Formats: sequence, C-alpha cells, structure tokens
Amino acid sequence: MEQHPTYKAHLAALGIALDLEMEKMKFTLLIGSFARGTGDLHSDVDVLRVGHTQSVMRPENIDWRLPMSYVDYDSESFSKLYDEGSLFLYHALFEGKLISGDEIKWRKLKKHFIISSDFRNSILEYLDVLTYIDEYPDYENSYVPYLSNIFKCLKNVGIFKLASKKYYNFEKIAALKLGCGLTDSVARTLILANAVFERSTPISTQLMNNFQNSATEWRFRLRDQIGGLAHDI
Amino acid sequence: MISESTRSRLRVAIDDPDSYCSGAKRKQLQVTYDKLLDELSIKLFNEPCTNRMMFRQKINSTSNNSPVFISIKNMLRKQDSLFSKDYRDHSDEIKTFLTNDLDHFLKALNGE
Repeated sequence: MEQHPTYKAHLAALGIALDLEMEKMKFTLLIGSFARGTGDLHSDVDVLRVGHTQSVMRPENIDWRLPMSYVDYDSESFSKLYDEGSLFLYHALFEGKLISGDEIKWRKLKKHFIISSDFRNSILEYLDVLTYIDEYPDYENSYVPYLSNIFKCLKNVGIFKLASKKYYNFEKIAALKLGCGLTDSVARTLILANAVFERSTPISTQLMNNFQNSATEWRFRLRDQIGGLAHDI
Repeated sequence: MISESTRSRLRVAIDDPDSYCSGAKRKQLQVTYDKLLDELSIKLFNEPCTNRMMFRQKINSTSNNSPVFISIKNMLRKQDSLFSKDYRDHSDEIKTFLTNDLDHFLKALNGE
C-alpha cells in the first residue's frame, strides 16, 4: 500500500529542524478563480495564508470592490491536510500563485504531494446536507438562501466527483455541469444566487422572480438530483 | 416570528452543541441559520433576506431596543464564527454562539 510521505518527512528531507521550521513556514497564495485567471465580478479574491494571518496587499489588476476572502491554515492544520492528501490543498498547491514565502520550499512540497483518491465520505457529507435542505419544510420559499446553500453543496459534490475520476477542476461552473450534470442555465442561476447571498451582488426584481421560479423547480427536482449523485459513488 | 421547524432545529443544535461544531452538522446549522435570517427579514421588514451582511445592517440601523432586537443584534454580531472558512478550530466559538447568542435569542422570542 502506498504510504503518504508526511509533511514532517518533507521538512526533514529539506534538511530543516522541524520545530523551528514549523514556526518559520509562512506562505501567502492567491487561490481560486483569480489564480486560475477566470475571476469576474461575482468572484471573491481568495487568499490562502499558511502560518500567519497578516494582511495581504490586493494583487494588481483586481477590482478593488471585490471582497478579499482569507483561508487560514496554521502549521498543524496544514500538516494534517498535507498528510491526508487533501483535495483543497492540491488545489492550492497546483493552481495557487505564490504571493510571498519561500518558493523553493513551496515547490518541494508541491513535488512530493500525493493526493487522496477516496472522496466518498466528503461526497456523502454534502449529500446529507442536501437531504437536510430537501426535508426542511418550506425552505424553497426562502429562495435566495435556499439556492445559495444548494449551490455550495452541489459545487463541492461536483468537485469531489470529478476528482474521484482524477479530473481536478475547481471551477464552479465545471463542478456543476460536469460533476453534477446540470445545464448551463441552471448552473448559472445557482452561481448568481450564491453571489447575491454571500457577496451583496445587486439584485433586481426580475432576478428575484427568476430565483423564485428556480427555487420552485428545485423543490421538485432536488430529491432526484441527490439520488442520481448518490447512485454512482 | 419564526417557523416551528426552524425553532425546533435550532433547539436541537443548542441542546447538543458539541455535535454541531463541525462536519455535516455544522453545515446543517448554517443552512438552518440562513433560513432563520430569511424568516426574520420577512417578519421584520416584509422582504426576504438576500444577503446576511445587508440584513445585519438593516437590523443595526433600527432604533428598536426590545429584548428580541438586542438578542438579534448580538446574534448577528457573532455569526461569523459559524461561517468561518479557515481551518483553525472554531469549536469553542460556535459552542458559545449556540449556547449563548442563539439560546438567548430563542428565549427572548419566548419572552423569557
């Protein structure tokens, strides 16, 4: 059975005293859609900070109105995720753009990373939450949070399902369409609803009507969607 | 002011805070909390909640200082721990949010 080399082993391989290095290891990365070059006005500026929580200068050429969203790992969390072969860490390692930190150390960590191949539990967890939403009386009448929460679950299910097939794509639209089988229109409505709910994207009456209609449709299709996604895990 | 299904779901989480600090239960709690905000928004402002931050701004801009409003303001002020995206352990903060802020809110609703 393949052994995951540990973060500690990597640090040892780098010839660095572990305790000292754990304290010193600090990285800042641009991750998410702006790292992939697909960010737009509905995107957050996602920044990963490892080993520190200092403020980070907004990267150039990114609209100042877009919210900065930080994901922070202390050394222990980072180490744990590294050893587990976390999909999220894979995404940070291979799509992230290093803003600050030792590039050579980062490259070595990247080189030795072994991604997990079993995402079943992660998929089941999100399907459980979708079932919880589906069984919640009248949730569809709270249509913006309803669609936003469905989006978050389906996006993650899609990402994990694609990764199970060794296709590592973290774009929300790809996760919804390729990972969950949604049409382009249905996927974009969910993405927009989430942008409204999480980022104060302006909303028109027409858009609210669209969300209301979409929520009604999801009320009738969510159970089948969950069943379909659970079928081939 | 809020539906019985939302109230009972919150009560279950408040009574078992350890289980609702992480994993699927934490995600369920987030789902319930978002539903709660929408129900409050419809009741208080006669419009749906389209964004957590805007709802908080609306609540804070009111001059109502009834026990229910104060408990809502306190709850909204502490809501970030529930939705935190970082990987630090937020168990203690979420437990406090449940057993303090959310519990006080439900009690204020009951007039306790």
